[in-house]
Amino acid sequence: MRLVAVFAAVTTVAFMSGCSVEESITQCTVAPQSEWQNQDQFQAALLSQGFEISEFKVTEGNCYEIYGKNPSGEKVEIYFNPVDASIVKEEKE
Amino acid sequence: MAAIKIWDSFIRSYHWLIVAAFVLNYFLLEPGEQAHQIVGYTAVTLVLLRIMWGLCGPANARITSFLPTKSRLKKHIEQLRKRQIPVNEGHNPIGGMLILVFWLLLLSQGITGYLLEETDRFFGSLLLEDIHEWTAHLLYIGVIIHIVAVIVVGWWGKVQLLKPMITGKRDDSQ
Repeated sequence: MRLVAVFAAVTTVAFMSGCSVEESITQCTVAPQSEWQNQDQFQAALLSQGFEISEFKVTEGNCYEIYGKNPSGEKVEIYFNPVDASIVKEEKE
Repeated sequence: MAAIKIWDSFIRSYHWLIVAAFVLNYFLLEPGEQAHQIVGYTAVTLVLLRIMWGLCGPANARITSFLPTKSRLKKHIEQLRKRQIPVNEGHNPIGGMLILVFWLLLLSQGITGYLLEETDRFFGSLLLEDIHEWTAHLLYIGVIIHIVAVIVVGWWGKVQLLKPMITGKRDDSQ
């Protein structure tokens, strides 16, 4: 019973703090947009490396994000730094 | 002072686990990442178990006990007018409506999330992502309505609401 109460308190606090804390989103760069690679050229470069792109997005955390397949055919979701095209975060299915 | 059993341990665990899942996925975890998916599918499983519990569980857990019928709504409004919610009540019919909405929203989160990650057709789909996001915002609005309602109805209707969801029992002060 006490455990349930503690759990309730913890989740409530987490909930309230959540109101003020930004979602932990992946940040890729602080460079101004003028220094970012051109979106079309960026995607064309990936395609020529053998990537397949289902969706391309510019995220709130200043990333170029793709959903698609990597050159070895695995389903991937990748966050790129838009300045130097380095991989910041990668999720494989 | 006697105590009246209101919520069984499944209902209480379910309630706080769903709270935890919502907080994690809405505020803390990045959409699309592995942890977000695990939490999401756990929430869907919990809702499905809850619905099963609503078919075969104890009286207060049963869906039939809180479906918002016309006569129940009338009775509830009458009780609000008198500022006296019955001490042995489980879900009131308006709360029951919100529960059904929560289930619907949580399940559609699971479905759109699944389509976004696991199917080739909708992998990363911008449209589905918008739907997924806005359903999440609707859930958050529901959560705020729920919290405000618990505070206001508890005070106005002179009924203990938070304690039964923690300990399972409500003090019978009458």
